[in-house]
Amino acid sequence: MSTEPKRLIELDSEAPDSLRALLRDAQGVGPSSAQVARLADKLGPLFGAAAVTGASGLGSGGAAASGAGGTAAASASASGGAKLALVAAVAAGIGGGALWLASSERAAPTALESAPIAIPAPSAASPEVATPPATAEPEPSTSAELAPAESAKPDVPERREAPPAQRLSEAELLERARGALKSDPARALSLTREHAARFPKGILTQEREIIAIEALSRLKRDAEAAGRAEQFKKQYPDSAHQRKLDSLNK
Amino acid sequence: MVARSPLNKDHGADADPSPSGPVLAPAAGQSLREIFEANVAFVWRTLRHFGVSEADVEDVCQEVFVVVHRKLSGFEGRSALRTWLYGICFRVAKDHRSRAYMRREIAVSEPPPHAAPATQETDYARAEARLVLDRILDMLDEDKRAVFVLYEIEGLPMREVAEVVGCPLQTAYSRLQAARKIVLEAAEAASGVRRRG
Repeated sequence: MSTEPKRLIELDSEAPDSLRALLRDAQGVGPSSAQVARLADKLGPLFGAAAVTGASGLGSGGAAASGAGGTAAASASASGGAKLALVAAVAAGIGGGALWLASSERAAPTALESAPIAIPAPSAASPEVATPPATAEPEPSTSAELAPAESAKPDVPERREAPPAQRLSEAELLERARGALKSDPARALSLTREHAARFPKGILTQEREIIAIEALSRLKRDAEAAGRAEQFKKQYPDSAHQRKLDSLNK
Repeated sequence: MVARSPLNKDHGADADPSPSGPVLAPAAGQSLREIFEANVAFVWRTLRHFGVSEADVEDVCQEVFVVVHRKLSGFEGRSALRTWLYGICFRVAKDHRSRAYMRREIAVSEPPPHAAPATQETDYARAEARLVLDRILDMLDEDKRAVFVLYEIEGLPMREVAEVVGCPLQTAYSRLQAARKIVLEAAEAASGVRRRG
């Protein structure tokens, strides 16, 4: 340790003053408070139910989807928020409570406010009990497709035509797959296959696998589910989803 | 609306890097929110200096905390949380850069598109200075760059630097020496250009 060279940023180092000034200035690089607030909004679903507050202007977390705070999170988070909502939902939803956060940019405020925000339940809870109503879907356009019968929500504003799956972003595609899990697990499985084809190295690979495993399980294809779960464990030994997976397999 | 969100793109690799060194657990019970609030500034800064463009840094920063979220439960606390976070930054930035390279979207010579408008002379000078440093750091390969940034800007001890980048201590020293040589020459050339300009 004592042999460490003198850092260039130090006054009597070998660096010219111009470089020293550059290095000093570099230490001041950082996000603006607005950028931090946007990030906090996007990450809100992962923070749990507690809102983020702070002197730096951190906005409320998306998970605290109550009134204006949640709506602001939804409008600010765009597709980034959709991805994080998915990560949070997968983490929380398998084998337990439903934490489905309406952070998609297309989420209608009314749907957001009506979304049940459940604290992620431990593995003992029944998935069926925790099933969120179709109206909790963050993407209004998908609910007609996924739950045509019970999704008549008079207070949800305009619903657009569901875009073809081929045009969906990675997060949107998996949102749709997850939304279909309970009503149509075969379709959910099919959507995960499509995800694998379109985004073979996507950032949400782990979430895709979790959804696929649950879909297989719901289709009573237990051997396939177990095999895929085993593969998941090998591939992502440190994954935070492991415990969820274990609870699913119980 | 974030126009360039990587979430709408196919990613070149699964951004789920594991820190190569011992993974540590956060201070017991520390939540993702607490980790975010305490560390977002240095994560952001480090990603920028690891070569993530201003246009992409917000998305990549988000990606870092998604990885943190996924891996938090496996964090065993055998080294500092800071070291762990730097390691995640290193790997996510590396992955991002390789994806960006494949998309041929690395913009090493463009001014930061999201930089605040330089309404004052000092702002302009600062923006220019950061651009100069970006260009200098861009001359380093990823491994040398990381060692240089972690030691010279972040002020980490070399032992920790080696742990973050996952190389033997002696290798880290070699990379630092090589990086310094390149940076010192580049800085000299840059100041010469500025003097002439």
